[in-house]
Amino acid sequence: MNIRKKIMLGFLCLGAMLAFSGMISTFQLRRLSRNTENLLNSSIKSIAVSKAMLDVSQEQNTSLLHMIVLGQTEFDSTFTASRIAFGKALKNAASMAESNAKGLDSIYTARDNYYELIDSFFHTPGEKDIEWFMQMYGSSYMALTSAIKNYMVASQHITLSKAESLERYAYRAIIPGIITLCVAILLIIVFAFMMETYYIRPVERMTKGLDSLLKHRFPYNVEVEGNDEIARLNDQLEELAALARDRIKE
Amino acid sequence: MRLAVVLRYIGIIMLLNAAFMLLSAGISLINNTDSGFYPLMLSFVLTSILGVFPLIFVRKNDRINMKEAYAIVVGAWLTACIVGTFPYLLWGGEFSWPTAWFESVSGFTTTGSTALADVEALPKGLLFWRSSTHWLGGVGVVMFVLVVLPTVGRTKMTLSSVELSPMAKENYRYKTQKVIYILLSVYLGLTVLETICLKIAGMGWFDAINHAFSTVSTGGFSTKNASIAYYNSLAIEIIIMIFMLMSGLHFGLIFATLVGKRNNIFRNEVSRFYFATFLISGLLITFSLWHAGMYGSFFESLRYSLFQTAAVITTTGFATADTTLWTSLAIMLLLYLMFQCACAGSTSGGIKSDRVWLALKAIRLRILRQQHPNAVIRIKMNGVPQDNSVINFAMFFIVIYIMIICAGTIIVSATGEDLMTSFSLVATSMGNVGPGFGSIGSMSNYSEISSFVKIFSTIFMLLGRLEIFGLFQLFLMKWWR
Repeated sequence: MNIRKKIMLGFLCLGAMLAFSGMISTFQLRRLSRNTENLLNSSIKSIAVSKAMLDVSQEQNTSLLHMIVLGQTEFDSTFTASRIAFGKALKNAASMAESNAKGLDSIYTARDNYYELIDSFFHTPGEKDIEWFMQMYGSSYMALTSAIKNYMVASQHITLSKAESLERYAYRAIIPGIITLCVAILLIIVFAFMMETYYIRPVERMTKGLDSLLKHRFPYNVEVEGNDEIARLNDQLEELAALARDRIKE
Repeated sequence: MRLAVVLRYIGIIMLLNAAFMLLSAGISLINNTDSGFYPLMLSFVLTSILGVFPLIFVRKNDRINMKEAYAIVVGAWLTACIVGTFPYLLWGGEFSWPTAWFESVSGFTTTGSTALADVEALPKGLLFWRSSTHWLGGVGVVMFVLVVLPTVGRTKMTLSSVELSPMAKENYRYKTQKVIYILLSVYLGLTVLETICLKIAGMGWFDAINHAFSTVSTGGFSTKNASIAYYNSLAIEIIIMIFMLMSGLHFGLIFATLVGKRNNIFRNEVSRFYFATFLISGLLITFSLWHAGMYGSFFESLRYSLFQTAAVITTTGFATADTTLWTSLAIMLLLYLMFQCACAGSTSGGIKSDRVWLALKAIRLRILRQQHPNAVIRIKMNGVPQDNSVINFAMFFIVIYIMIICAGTIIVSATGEDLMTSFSLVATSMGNVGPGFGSIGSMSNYSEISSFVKIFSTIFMLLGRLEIFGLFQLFLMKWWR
């Protein structure tokens, strides 16, 4: 193999290693960024959904208060609209709650109890008074809002546990880079050593040999290993030196 | 010393490691591209480039001197241990830098201690790589190179004198090239035979191959957290015990026995001493356990004690019982076996039965000389008179071996470990056995041991594997004439 090919191959190895490490790290970093984004989105979504459920519960509560205490029956439509909005918010929560099914189940149970109580109010509106509102309804409403808040806290805990996997992704993104960098540094040292051993030192020896020949007429006697251009150059210099010696003798 | 030539040979060994990484990646691929695939593939690429690099520049060189041979052997062990950490580190999980280094050194030196609390959590590809490190280390990385490389003559002779125990070399009486082929064929033959036997006994192919790798190399890595106890099968235990004992024998002698040579395992003094030690220790432990009522019946005591005795004397380190709970006599006998170990010319570590037998003969000689001061008596092994230098070296080796263990125990106990853990940790690492006593018993692991002690114990594993002086010489090379 000639010198050019050897050096090219050496650089190719180094380049391939760095490129490969770059590719792997980029891939892992993109994965990390995608996972971080998903995690943040799911956290924001769960907070938004919980907030929506709490808001509409509050609306329902206010509407009912207006109807019972002030006798304002027009709040009936507001209550119905809030009920539909609650259903939608709960549906949204269900679509993203694979990992928090337990929390969602408690909301479903609390909601069913809550609406059972509300339905009884609408069937016999005259019988329900402020006392009913404070005692029966109040505890059911509290149970519903507590279930929603618990769901919100549990969702954040799940997000936190998922965040630990980000550490693993980060590790996987960094480690290939570190290892490859170490290997690349090692290869650079080996590359420099090979250049020194096989190219720089022989050229220095040949220069020294030629200097001795030209300045002091010492015989040219340099040994170079291998069969590349430098070894051939050394052979040719030896021939040239022998030729010059013969000429001088003549 | 020509460093470039040394680098070329180490490069070839790296390529061999890379081939096994590729094989392990293939296992991952077969198993639905498990999580071990990407770390193994990346490790394969890195190791291949490392291996190919010196080959680009350095020409094939058949003639290497003793100094270069030492540098190749020791350098190869160290480099193999370093690249062996790549798949572990890239996979992550329980592997930190010290844990990965510990696991890699433990694998290549065929020690078989694990720093993992949950081995079964590893993907199959990585489990296979773990067992492969045993198999590669067992046969000796350099031995592979000698077979793989189409080089001739002095290269092989010089390398083998480093890799093999000096006494094993004396015993072979074959040309080095033939020795290598004999070793490799016995090694391969035992691996294949054990895999088939384990499969017939009820193990799956994957587990059978992994355990065969670990047994024949006298390593001890298992694919299960509970080691061999997981299978609770008498047939599997008997098969593994037989193969452990066979792997502790001089491979040349196994070959000689198979081809019907006169110097076989039944006539050889050392192998007879090795078997006698195993049987006497095994039976003493059996009676001790039976007497203490550790197990329900005599047969059960016999079953567990013989297996554990074989696991320790051969330096394999598999487990079917928790030896830390055994009687003091049993523990002391097992500790002794950690020192003596199996025969030279096998893949086991420790002082080796050959040296212990020689030491016993030297003691007998000393007594005889005191009785008959003018008598001319020489120590003979298998009828061959032994040179004084061989006897002196064996004695010197035993002394320095014990001194290193004492020094190591002092240092480990200074880190806060109890005496039994410290002593057995150093002894088990030095003998390449695997499990010890105290908090590193046969049913425990090194996961609770500090990172410093983990790294420190790898020095003993390497010292033991390279027969102490192999590693020392690398650092004293500058003054070596």
